[in-house]
Formats: sequence, structure tokens, C-alpha cells
Amino acid sequence: MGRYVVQRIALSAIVVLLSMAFLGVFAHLVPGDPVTVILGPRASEALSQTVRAEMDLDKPVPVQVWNFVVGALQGDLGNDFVSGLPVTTLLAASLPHTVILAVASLGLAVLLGVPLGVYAATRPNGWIDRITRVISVSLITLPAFVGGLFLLLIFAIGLGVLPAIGAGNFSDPVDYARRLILPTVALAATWIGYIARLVRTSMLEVLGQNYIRTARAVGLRDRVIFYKYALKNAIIPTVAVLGVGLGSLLGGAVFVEVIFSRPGLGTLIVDSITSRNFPIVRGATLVIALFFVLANLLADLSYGFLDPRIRVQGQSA
Amino acid sequence: MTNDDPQVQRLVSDLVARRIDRRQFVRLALALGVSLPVAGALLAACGGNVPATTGAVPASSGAGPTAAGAGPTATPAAPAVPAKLTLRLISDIANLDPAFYPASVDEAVSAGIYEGLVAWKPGTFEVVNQLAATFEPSADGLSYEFTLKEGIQWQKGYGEVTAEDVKFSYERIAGLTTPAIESPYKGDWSPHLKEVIVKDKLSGTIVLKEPFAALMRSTLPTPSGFILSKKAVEERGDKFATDPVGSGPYEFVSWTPKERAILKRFAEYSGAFAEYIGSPFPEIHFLPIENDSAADIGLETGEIDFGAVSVANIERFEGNPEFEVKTAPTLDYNWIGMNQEHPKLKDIRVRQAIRLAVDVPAMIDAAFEGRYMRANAIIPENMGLGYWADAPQYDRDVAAAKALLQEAGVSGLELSFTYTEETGSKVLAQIVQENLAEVGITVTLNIVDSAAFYELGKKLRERELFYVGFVTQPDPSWSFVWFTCSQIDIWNWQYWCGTEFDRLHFAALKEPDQAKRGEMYIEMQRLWDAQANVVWVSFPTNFYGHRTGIEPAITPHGRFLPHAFRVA
Amino acid sequence: MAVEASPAPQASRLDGRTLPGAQVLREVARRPAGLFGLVVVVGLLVIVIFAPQLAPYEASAQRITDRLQGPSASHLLGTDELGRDLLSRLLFGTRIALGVAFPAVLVALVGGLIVGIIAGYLGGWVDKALVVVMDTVQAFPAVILALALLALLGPSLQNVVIVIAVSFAPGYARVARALVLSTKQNLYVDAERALGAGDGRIIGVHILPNIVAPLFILLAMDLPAAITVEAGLSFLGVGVQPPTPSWGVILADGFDRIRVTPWPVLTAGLTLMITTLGFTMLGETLRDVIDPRLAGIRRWNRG
Repeated sequence: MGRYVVQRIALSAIVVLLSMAFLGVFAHLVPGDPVTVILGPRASEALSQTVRAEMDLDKPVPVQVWNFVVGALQGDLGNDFVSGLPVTTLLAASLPHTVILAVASLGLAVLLGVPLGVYAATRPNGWIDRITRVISVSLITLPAFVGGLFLLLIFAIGLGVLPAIGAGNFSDPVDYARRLILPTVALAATWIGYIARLVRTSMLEVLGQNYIRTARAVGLRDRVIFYKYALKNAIIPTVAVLGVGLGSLLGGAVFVEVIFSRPGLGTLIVDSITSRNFPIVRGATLVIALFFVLANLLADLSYGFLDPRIRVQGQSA
Repeated sequence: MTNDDPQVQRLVSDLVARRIDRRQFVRLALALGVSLPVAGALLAACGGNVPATTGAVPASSGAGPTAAGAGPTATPAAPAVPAKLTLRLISDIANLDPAFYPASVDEAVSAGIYEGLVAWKPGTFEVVNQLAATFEPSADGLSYEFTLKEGIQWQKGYGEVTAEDVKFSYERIAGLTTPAIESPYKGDWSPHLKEVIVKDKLSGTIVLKEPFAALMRSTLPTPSGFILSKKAVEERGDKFATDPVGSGPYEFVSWTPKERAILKRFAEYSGAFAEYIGSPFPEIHFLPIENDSAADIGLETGEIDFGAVSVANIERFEGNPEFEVKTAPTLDYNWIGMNQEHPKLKDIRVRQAIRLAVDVPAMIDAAFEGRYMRANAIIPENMGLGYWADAPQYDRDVAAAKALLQEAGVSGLELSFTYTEETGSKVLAQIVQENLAEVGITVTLNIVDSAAFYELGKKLRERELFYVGFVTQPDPSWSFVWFTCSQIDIWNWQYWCGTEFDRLHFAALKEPDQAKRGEMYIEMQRLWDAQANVVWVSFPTNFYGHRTGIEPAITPHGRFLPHAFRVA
Repeated sequence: MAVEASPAPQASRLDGRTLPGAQVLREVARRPAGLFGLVVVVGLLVIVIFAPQLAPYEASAQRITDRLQGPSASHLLGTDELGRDLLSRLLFGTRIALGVAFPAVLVALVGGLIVGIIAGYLGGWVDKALVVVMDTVQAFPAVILALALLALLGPSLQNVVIVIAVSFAPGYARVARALVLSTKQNLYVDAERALGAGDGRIIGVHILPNIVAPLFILLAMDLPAAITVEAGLSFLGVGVQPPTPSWGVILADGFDRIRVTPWPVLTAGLTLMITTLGFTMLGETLRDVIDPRLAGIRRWNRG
């Protein structure tokens, strides 16, 4: 088990370093002078010089990448072109809102998706199951931003029962929570569908297998079978999905933040693209990637606990 | 249903006991069949207090049927003063140094922090003393003697305001201090200012080299006339711009970029201008909200108390008894510009064709809901000076435009049209595109962020067609200066250098006779019109929505003065 | 980090031909989900081809006096802020949606295929290096990667195609690689090699036919994601630019005026939903019909 953990962590660390290197070399991936590429129509003399200095563009490419990676590891992501403030400061202000949104959405998706899937599995092809299937498919194909717009239209503008903009302040948690409702639902919707389907399929798979039939024959109560074996088995792919799903969630968060005018990494990136403020784009992208890698690492590690087969494999590998 | 009805009475007692708020009261009353005027009267008679804070207010009202105007708004007996006043800015601040502020939002935040020798009486263009105890122009207009009021304190412990500070502030913008600064507002003082002589601690004289007609109109009462603490500027250096020190009723507390700027009441305020302002708010918060829809929603939910509302939503706020909308005409102007040095636009017939091909009234309708005044030249009537009443108005004439293009031997012309995210620009750009397509010109649209738009220097020579608006101060010279020869590659994006135009501009700056000045400005507009390098669009009007309960202070040129707001 | 592909089809598929096309279609149409998908997709293709005939107005025809109206006899779905007919714009928008999504996913497929075959076939350090590159690209959610690339490339329709292709390619590369790896181990292939068959023949006859089918199914399931990503990027203002009637642009314009009229947002949103639903249904049914064992392959890195 220990070996498996170490393996996974090492792999994640490598990916993180590579992501940093990737972003370090990013500006050179597009043909043309990096300064003009970055600044686009903003390329005045003064600003070009600032950019050159800020991003070490006069030095050879490997040195630039090295400097960026070393800096990133120490928590320095450069300074933004417009105000000269350190990128990390700007990110730190926006990050909590995005993280809370993502975690809340995942939580909601699990909270609603798992029971839905379980219930559908208990009565396969019953009407709940059919409805769940229809709903989950519809939800899966509802992109977060369309869902967000519809929710805004119906609940905030049409009925006026929920707030339409802003995240509020941490000093007023009730208000903050209220403003979190619509964006969270918009983001979670797709995943409720996926998770429900996944849980249902995995459970049905397990329930059909031999060892379950044996357990039944031996007299173990249905309920025990259900929760101890079937559900547990369904959790592994669910966790896998969630780990990967966080990436999609973070992508969707960009839209939801824009639609509900919430502060966060998404709004930051979009604003920075239009103002050609590349260090912020780069820094925010890195932070999001880091979260994604972290989430997947946690997902991978939790397999180890959940599935003894992996644990054993890890030891012998 | 009369007021004796027990249900209505119960409703009223709920209201008084504050079990329900005013909005719920109105809704429930209407549901019970009480008519709106009566409900309003009940509210006024027995109504509860104004909500104590601007923070967590119940979500936006689907105030449809109840919002049918009428009904007096509640005027509580003794208004509780909210702890803070929250105002919207249409973009984030960047620099609060009066010598370098880039946009009107910086001006708005600075207005409460700094003071000048003189200032406008809020709501007017009448110049009254602010920090000056006495202010005496000489007969020939070349020297202005002033004495400062006694005991005016700088914020943040920088001591007393002295004549040295006056000298420093004005000579600094003029570029006469060492080290010299290059202020974009240098033209407000230079080359007219000779020096400021300090006589003693509290008095001195402003000495000019030549008469300066705009001094009292657009220099002294504006940020270029603000007095800064010499010690604070020298000590804080670059940081002064984001941590300023003034003598005004509000001092700077903090700025979280893209989120909030905070001012708080200056406890040791000298009261220099107290006769005209008496803002009761302990704190003023500024929220930069670029998106108009988001700002409208913020106003409705109570997140902000006051802010520019999008033209599309004016009616909704006007129809809602909880809000008021103030109409604030400006002296600003927006236009479609043509770079006449660009090979494609060098032929004047092409430019004239473009001028005849675009549909300005349609633009004003679609982009500004028809609420802005159409402009035919740069100076609006409200300027009070230099208004060209007989300016030609170019109505759309597709046939004439096509004829001109044919005469110029031009066909299949392709042009780029650059614009920013400003209100209505996107819509306007698409109208221009359609209009010009009809005369055979293909237009590619090019949206650019504001900072990029203004920052280009020599690269501007590549620009072809563009749409932009400038703000101005209440003197024609302020509007014209950006289009003189010296502004080529800076702000003169039409790339027109008119010798006579320039000569008139500088002569008018020195002309003491108002009538003659006016004539010169009209002549300048005539010369400009002949060049056909702009299509004037409109003079914007600002619409400020605010919740009833506060009384904003708005200038005659459409700006707001946060430090002069009151509780209604 | 996509979930790995499940093991490739068995040796019995090596005879090349899978179910004949017509039979597949019939199977798909038999299932309600598949039928729905077929109807939607065919309908969209018809719209793409016949948009000018079907649309009552030009997509760019402005009538300022008629702007922001709800559905009426002359404008079945209402008008936008410049008085343009929404129905017409949505119809022409189909061309943008499919015109971006198809090429993007195709390029991703071809690119990923090439990379995957090279990695799988050559093995060794080339394989390891390519896997590392793909892993790194997949460490970024697709939308975020797309945004970062667009920050450099600038907003335009062509660039959206490029960024979508780049974001989706690693997924195809992985699947192709996995399939190549398992095919390589096949005894039949070893036999041929022993008889002197060259690389080209092995790739052409054994590897390609096996992987083409699963990859095309992935393509069908990726199309809705690509359509959604393009609409999303255009909605944010960094993709297709106005006045081109991408559904994302229509949504963005509608969002700006959402308090005045909900129709642009409603109609464009529903159109997007139905389109993605149709393609997803079709893709999943195809997958179920052609090879149910491929149900193990998931597309999770849609970001």
C-alpha cells in the first residue's frame, strides 16, 4: 500500500512539474515574437519592455522555463502587466470562491446522484429508474452555462426568489450560502446525471455477479448485500469519475462565475484575456491544473483504501 | 376595503412591529385589495424605518404589478444613517494622483479626498472658495492672490496645509518642479503658468505668463486644481497614486483591485467646505462593476445604493417606487473617427461617403435606447460657449454615398472598425457594418479592451475606422485639445493636423472676451467639418439609479460627488 | 487524466469488416434514443445545407425599430437587440456550430491517431515521451486550456477550431495507442512478420481497421462536447465574434439584455440542448449497437 501511495504521489509531482514547464514555454508555442503574441494590439513600446523584462524573454528559452518553474515552486507567479501587483495576490483573492463553488457542486452532485442511482438500481426498469435515466441523460447534455442561464432566468429574474449576482461576503455566511445556490445547482446538474447512471450501472453489475448469488443463497440479508458489497463496488468508479469530473467542473465554473457575476478564478481568467494580461492567465491556469492533479491524486489514493485488489497489486508491482 | 378592515389593521401592526418590511407590506396590501395610493399613504403614516444597512437585503423584487408608479414613497420619521454608502464604478480605479488619473472613475473617488483653492458649488458650475479664505484675480488676469483658511489639516498626520503645498501642487502638474513630471493634464497649467509665489505660510500668488481663459472654468475647480501635501507626495513617491493623502472630508482606506475601494470620514476634517456638503456616511465603498446587467441587478438587490444604470433598464427603475433615476446630461461626446492618413481613407470623397452612409439616429436608438442627444459637432449646447447651432446634420443618403465612392473610383473597399466594450459599442459597430455593406464597403469588426485601445502611440497609424467617446471638463478648449497637431500619435487618431485649427485653439485660450472666444470655437468646428474625418454620434447622458432614501449630488456635466451625498 | 481505455476488441474482429452500414442504421433506428438522435442529427444536417432556403430572413438583416420583441407572426422566435430575426440566426448558427465542431474533432482524431499509432507502434522512449506530453496536456481542463491558448492566439473562429482540436487530441491518442499495443501482441501479426510483411502492411491491414471503429464512435460522442465548448467560448467573447451568429454569441447578446427579453437566451439555450442531446443519443446508441464491449471507454476529459 505504501508503495502504491508513493508511486501515485511521485507521478502527480512529475505531472505538476511538467505543467509548470508547459506553461513556462507557453508563450513560445504560438508562432511569432512572444511579446507581440502576448500583447496583441497592446504592444506599445513601454509595455513591450515591461513584458520583456517581466517574462525574461531576452534569455534563452530553457532559462525562462527554469526561472518560471523555480519561481512557481516558491509561490511566485510573476507580476501582472497592468497594475504590477503579484499574480499570487490577485489569485489568492479569487481562489476561495472558486474552490467553494467546486466543492459545493461536487458535494451536491454526490448527495443527489448517489441516492438516485441507488434507488434506480433497487428497482431496475421500474418507473423511477426510467425517469432517472431520462433526467440524467437530459442533465448530462445540459452544459453548465446553459443551465446557469436558465436558472438565472427562472429563479432570479422570473420568480425573484434567489439572488442573481455576486458571491457576497464571508462575514455573512447565510447570504453567501444563498448566493451559492443557483451557481452550484447549475454546475452540479450534469454530474448528478453521470453519477446516478454510474452508480446504477455499477451496482447492477455487482448484483448480477456470482458471489452475490452465493451470499444470498447462504442467507445474508438483502440490505447487507446491498450496502456492503454493491454500493461499495459502485464507489470506486464514482470516485474515479469525480476526480476527472473536477476538471470539467472547473471548466464549467468559468461560465457560471461569469453568468452570476461571482468573483473567482474563472472571471479572473476571462477578464485577463480581454485585457491581454498574460501572467494572470498563466497563473490562474496553473492553479486550476494543480487542483485538478490534486483531485485526481486523492481519487487515486482513495481507490487504494476502497479496493483491496489495488492495494495488493501495488505491493507486488 | 377600508382602513378599518381588521386584516389591513393587522398588516399595519405587522409593519410597525417590523415583522414584515415595506416591500412585503405593499404586496400584501395590494393582495388584500387596498389601492396603491392608500397603501403608500399607510406606509408613510405608519411605515417602519429605512433599512439599516445596504448589505443583506431580500432578493430582487419581481415587482411587476406593484410597480405601476403612483403611491408616495415612504419617508420615515427619523432616518437611520446607513453605516456605509456603496457606489458603483463602471470600471476599476487605477491611479488616484490628480496629475495622472486615467479615467472618470478615478476622478469620482478622488473627489472626496482632495480639495482645491476653489471648487464648484455642488450641482452647479458656480465657483466658490474651498480651501481659499480669499481669492482675488488681478484686473489683467495675470495674477491671482490667495490666502488659505487657517488650521486645515492634512489626512494621515501630515500637518497643516500651507501655501508651499499650493505652489508644489500647481507647479508639479505644469512640469515646473524638480524632478519634473510629465502629466497628461499638463496643458491645464502649462505653458500659461509662470510660477506660484509664496508670500507667507498661508498666502501667495499664482502668476501667469499670459491670460488663460480656461483657468477658472476647467483648471482650478477640477483635479488639476487640487492641492496635494508636498511632504506626502515626496515621501510616498509612486505609492501615492494608490494610497493618496488629501485634506478633504474623506480619507483613503484601502483598495482591493477588481473588488472594492473604501474611503472613511476624515475625523479631523477642517470643515473648509462644510457649508456646501454634509455627507453623513461614515464610510463610502466603491464597487467596480463593468457589466451593466450585473450592476442593475446589484442595485435592485441592495448591494449598491447608487450607480449608472444601463439605458435599457431605466424604465424599470423609474417604475419602481423603491428607486429613483437621475438624468445627468454631460458635455462628453462620442464619434466615429476615420484615420485620414491611412491610404484607404486619404480621399476625402471616401470619407464623405462614409459620413453619408451611416445611420446615426438608428445607432442612437439601438445602442442608447434613443436617450442620448444627437451630436452634429463637438460642443454641446450646455457648454455655454462655442456651441455651433448651425452645424450641418448629415442624414443617411445611400445613393449619394455610392455616387461619391464611384467618383473616387473606389470599389470593393475593405475597412476595419475598432471599438471597445463601452456601453452600446457592440450594437453600434454592427449597425455601421450593415450600413457600409449597403454601399459596398466591407467592414471587419475589431473589439479591443479599453486599456489597449488608448495605449498605442504610433501603432495608431494602422487604425482605420473606430468608435470612441471622450469625457471633458466644462471648457471648450478641453474638448478640442486632443485634436491638435501635437496630439498626433497620442490622442489625435484622425491624424489631421490643421494649422488654422491649431492657431485658433491657442489664441482662444488667451482670449478674455467670451464672445470672441465663442466665435473662434465655432470657426474651428467649421474647419473640422470640412475635413469629413469624423461622424459625430451623440452627447451621452448619464442615468444614475439609486434607492430612495439617499440624495445624490450630481454635477451639471454628469459626474457624481460621493462626498456630497445625503440621506433623504 | 482520462480513465484508461478498456482492453481492445478480440481477435475475432480482425477479419476487418464490422457490421454493414445499413444494418447498423436499422439497429440504431429501432431504439428510441437512437431514433431521436438520428432525427436530430439529420435535421441539423438538412438545416446546415438548406439554411438560406429555410430561414425567413438574412442572419444579419437589421431592423432597429423591431428590436427585442417576443415571438410574433413575422418573427416566430422574436428578434434580438438589432432587430434581427432569431429563428434565422439560429438556423444559420447551425452552420457555425457544426462547421467548428466537425473539423475540430476530425483534426483531433487524425492528429491523435497519428500520435497514438507512432507511440504504440514504436514503443520505447518515443512512446514514453509522447505519453508524458499527453498526460501534461490532459492535466488541464479542456475549457481552461482553450482559454489559455486563445489568450495567445486571439479570438476567432479558426482559432476556436485549433484549440478544441488540441484539447481533444490526447484522448484519441491514448485510445489509439492502447488499441495498437494490444493488437501488436497478436499472434497473427507475429506470424505475418515472420513471413516478412512490412510495417506499412501491418499497420494498414491489422491495426487501422481495428481502431477506426472505436475512434469514430468516440468522435460521435465528442461532437456534442465540441459544440458546447465552441458555444461556451463564443459566449465568453473569446471565440467566434459578433455578428457571426454562433449560438454562443446569440446567448451572450441575449444575456446582456436578459432583463428586457428572455427569448434569445431561451431559444438559443434550448437549441443547444436539443443538439447536444441528439448527438449524444446517437453516439451512445451507435456504440451500443456496434460493440457493447466498448461501453468501457468513457470520455471524461471533456472539461
